[in-house]
Amino acid sequence: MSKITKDSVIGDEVSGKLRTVSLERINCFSGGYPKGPNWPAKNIHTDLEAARQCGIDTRAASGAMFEGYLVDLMIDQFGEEWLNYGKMNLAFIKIVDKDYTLIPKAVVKAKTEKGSRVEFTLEICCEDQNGDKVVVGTAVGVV
Amino acid sequence: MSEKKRIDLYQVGEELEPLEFCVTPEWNAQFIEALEAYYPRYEKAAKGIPAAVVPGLLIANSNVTRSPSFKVDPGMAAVHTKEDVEFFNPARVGKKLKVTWKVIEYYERRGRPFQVVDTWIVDEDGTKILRRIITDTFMGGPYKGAKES
Repeated sequence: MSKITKDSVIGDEVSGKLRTVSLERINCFSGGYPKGPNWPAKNIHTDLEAARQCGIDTRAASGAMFEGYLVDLMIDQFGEEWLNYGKMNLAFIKIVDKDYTLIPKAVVKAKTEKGSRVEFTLEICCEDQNGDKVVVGTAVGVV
Repeated sequence: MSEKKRIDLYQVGEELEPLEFCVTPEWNAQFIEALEAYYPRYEKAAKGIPAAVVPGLLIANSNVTRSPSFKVDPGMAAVHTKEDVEFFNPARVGKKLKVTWKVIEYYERRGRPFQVVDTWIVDEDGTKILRRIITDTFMGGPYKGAKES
């Protein structure tokens, strides 16, 4: 995996590992804890019928899953310290059904020297197996 | 006990009932599996500091649907459309966490309602963990479905 360094320039792109949004993983994320006799909880994320009752054609995996992928991409790039100052703004633009594969990505949009450190503004997204973006936004990190 | 109010009927300035929870290693492990987040930082204590809580677990458990006072009608859902999130400190396994929610804006766009909620997670020591400004819309019940513009 490539990494953002002080030498990175505007336009440089990094990506995280490919994730498969399996039904089992959706259930682990949105089915509740602990796992009891009625697990997973039925909701628009875990249950097709519950989604259809709400006017959604498919299960809709929680956007918080993709947000989690992007947080880990930021920590991969900027270290665990990112959890002490990191910021993201996100828009969820496409429904993700089970068995989609998503890859988190970031592109350097701005670079600002701050003393001995460099602050990067990134355009971030997760793309599905068709190359469609499902969540887009920006994030800030410091090297 | 007062009857719960449907989430879309909360007015600006109103707060949902807070949620308190403590993440166990087993709960963290469930989210490591969910997110394929196989990193040592979520699995092992280091230098006497407990493992970090998987951030996705914090995000999942600070959605408005997790408030004990959250309610929707049958066939209705709150759907996450956008957010701003800011991290202040990692949450630690074994620490009690408290989530608070306050409605700060409500608007309509293209016939759809949008509710904006200021959300905080703070730990038992008062350490700020994260803040989210969450925007949700509503589908089903009295509202349009996903395909209706």
